[in-house]
Amino acid sequence: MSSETRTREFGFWIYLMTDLILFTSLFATYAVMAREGSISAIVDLRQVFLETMLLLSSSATCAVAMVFMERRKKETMLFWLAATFLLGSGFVFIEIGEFARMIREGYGPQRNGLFSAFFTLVGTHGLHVSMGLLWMLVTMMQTWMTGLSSSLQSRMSRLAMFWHFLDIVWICVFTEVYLLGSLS
Amino acid sequence: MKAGKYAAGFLLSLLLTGISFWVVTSHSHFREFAVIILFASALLQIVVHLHVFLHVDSSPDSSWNLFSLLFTALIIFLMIAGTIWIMYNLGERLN
Repeated sequence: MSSETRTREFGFWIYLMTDLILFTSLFATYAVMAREGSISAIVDLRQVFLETMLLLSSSATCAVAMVFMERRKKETMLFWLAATFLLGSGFVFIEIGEFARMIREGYGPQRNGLFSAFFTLVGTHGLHVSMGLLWMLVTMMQTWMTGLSSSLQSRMSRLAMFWHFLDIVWICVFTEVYLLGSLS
Repeated sequence: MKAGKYAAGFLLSLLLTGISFWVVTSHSHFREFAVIILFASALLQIVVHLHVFLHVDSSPDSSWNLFSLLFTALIIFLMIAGTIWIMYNLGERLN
């Protein structure tokens, strides 16, 4: 790895750390709001489990894509990146469906502070995943057209960092919001 | 070799996620026990992800990543613990 790539990766790492602070403020707000109520009545844990499995598997397929990129197997890498994209899209699809169902049943963000905090926290994560998907689509098209140049590999490694980072945030979301919220 | 590490990390996170969901959906545990299991498995899963997929380790190459992560962890702790402390205290005074 060149020192330029390493510097860029470190810069991107610092961005991820600041993004973590952003999520922290949303988590803290949610923790305060969750004291007075619970979302367990409206949440379907089976759906959350499915979402978690999709995102976890997409992290694994993303790692496999990186392995094939390092072996300079363009087609195989694209195949695994496409699998990552499909799994991530499945996650966003289920999440939008869940949001729509909650709003339909009168549990939208306007209901109270708890649901405002819920939609802001989970929605911000969902928006990050959607942006990651867009980034992935652009990377796949560039790889398809121009091949595995060194600048593309450098970008791809930062995309993988972003994707694994979102998985870590999701671990905190399903633990604090969904599972801890279903306990009480 | 790298692929094996990824596979192990993926299986470990599947296992930890399974434990988290099981401890909540089985309804057969004390609340305190379930909370401890939840936090422990989330923390473990975060560490697995950081190490396996984001390549954070104790090598000199990633020392700056590690230090900035530890600093961020300190800020996160201050923000979460401070918020909960202050807001819950205020909430109790209101009652």
